[in-house]
Amino acid sequence: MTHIRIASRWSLLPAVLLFGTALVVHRPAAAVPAFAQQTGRNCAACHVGGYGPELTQFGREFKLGGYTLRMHGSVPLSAMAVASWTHTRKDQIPPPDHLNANDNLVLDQASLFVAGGIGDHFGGFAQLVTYDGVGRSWSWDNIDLRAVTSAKIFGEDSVLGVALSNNPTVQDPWNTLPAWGFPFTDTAVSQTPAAAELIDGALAGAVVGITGYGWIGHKVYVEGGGYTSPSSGALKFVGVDPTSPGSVHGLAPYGRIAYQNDVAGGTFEVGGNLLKAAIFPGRDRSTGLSDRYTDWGLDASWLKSLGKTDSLSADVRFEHEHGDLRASCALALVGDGSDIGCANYHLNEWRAAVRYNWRGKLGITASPFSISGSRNFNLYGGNGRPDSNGIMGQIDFTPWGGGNSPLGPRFNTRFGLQYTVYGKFNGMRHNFDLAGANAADNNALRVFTWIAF
Amino acid sequence: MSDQEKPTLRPVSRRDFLNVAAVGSGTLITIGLAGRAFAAPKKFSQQQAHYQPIPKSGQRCQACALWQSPTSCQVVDGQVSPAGWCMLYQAKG
Repeated sequence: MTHIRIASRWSLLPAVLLFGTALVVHRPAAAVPAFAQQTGRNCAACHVGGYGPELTQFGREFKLGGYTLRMHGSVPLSAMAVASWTHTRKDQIPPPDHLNANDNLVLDQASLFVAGGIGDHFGGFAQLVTYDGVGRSWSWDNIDLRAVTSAKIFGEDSVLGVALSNNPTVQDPWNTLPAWGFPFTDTAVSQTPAAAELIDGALAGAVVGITGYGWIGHKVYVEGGGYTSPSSGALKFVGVDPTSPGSVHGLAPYGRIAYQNDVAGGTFEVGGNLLKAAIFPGRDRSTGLSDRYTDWGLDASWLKSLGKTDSLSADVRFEHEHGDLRASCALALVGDGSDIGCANYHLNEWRAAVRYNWRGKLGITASPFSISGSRNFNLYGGNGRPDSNGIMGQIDFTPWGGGNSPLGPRFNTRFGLQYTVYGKFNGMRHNFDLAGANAADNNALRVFTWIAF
Repeated sequence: MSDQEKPTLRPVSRRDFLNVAAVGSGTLITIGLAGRAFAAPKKFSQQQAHYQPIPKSGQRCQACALWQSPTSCQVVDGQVSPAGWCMLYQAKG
């Protein structure tokens, strides 16, 4: 027999106090009513389906314009909370820390934001403080501060900007790259595949970087810059583990190009990205070696309005990673310390999401995913392969995306149901842990409520 | 790399939570009330909206959900060409 259990007796208290009622992210997410107040436009003007973070064409322009477009004075503060109940096909053994083996109701995340523009040239989005109700910890979250100006480039009206951010891809205006890609909310309660690429969030909050960009003719996007690690003390101050993944050696360069145009009556985008990093694992420089990562990817998206309130969107991303964890090998963090080439590997990751929004209220999404790569028994258990794949489906309801909430135009909420089905998990379909567990045992049903103010 | 040393982070106390909740509640109520005071309707200037009197990528004001015939826009100030474009473009569908 299983029991529903609250993460702790008082962990839902902030949501209850803040919003009056709560069935209230491990994964970063954003919907910022402060921007709606600033622009005089409702959530649906910037967000597909009336809720963040999937951006409309105007939402992308607003972001690339440095969040400076302003119709009204505004209070640049917002708050958000996500709570969910998760059931996995089989109980988790051992259960997650502080939680039951199954059927867990948790506050996934509660965040406070500062978001707004100052004058015509400065603006930002700062998910300043986030409480992780599963990990039971506070930390800073996604930061994206911008300085922008207008310019004529090749005779075209363009935007030039500089972005200061703490998570590579958080500054991106399309929803294909990891920081803002589907699923827009998920939980740390259920098990997820062990293999992931560096760009998939390993550096989130653990680095700071500056990139310069040009949005040329509102069609061509070019961005370049680099990320580095703050001091250990600074990271501890903002609630981030300074040893995970470690400190960046010098600068980790990041580049991005994209092209956007109308195709078949919708807004089409195609692009590429590159991230290279040399990291001292656990900040340990004693070997003089660093772990080397090279991630490059291609992505495309298409968004079409259908009727006054319906829309169809599709996002797809491929990302390749080559890793050579020579420092981790030398330190015997991977392998037995006898071979610095013990973790030379590659990964290939595919993700896609097709979403239909009906009447700006009801959304349905299908999102297949796959990660595969080279066999390495030093890095992966089971059969030594990182392979996982599956599909996530989501149905969600956003009753007040048009700014018509009975609690005022700043209040917005989304209710949703997700189901994730795994075909392979950590290398195999059956017996992936060599102890009898099957991929389908991790299939998960999640019911969530997501509130923003 | 699971055997890396983890730092000791201060656990969240009940007092932390109550303080944040109390301050947050007051702040958000203030924001809500202030929002009503700021809600006077007006329009963006054409410069703010990056308006141009010619189409972009096949998009034109006349096909925008914000278009008001014959030569104006719901959210952009001044005379607007039906063949124009701005960053607030929103297809009628």
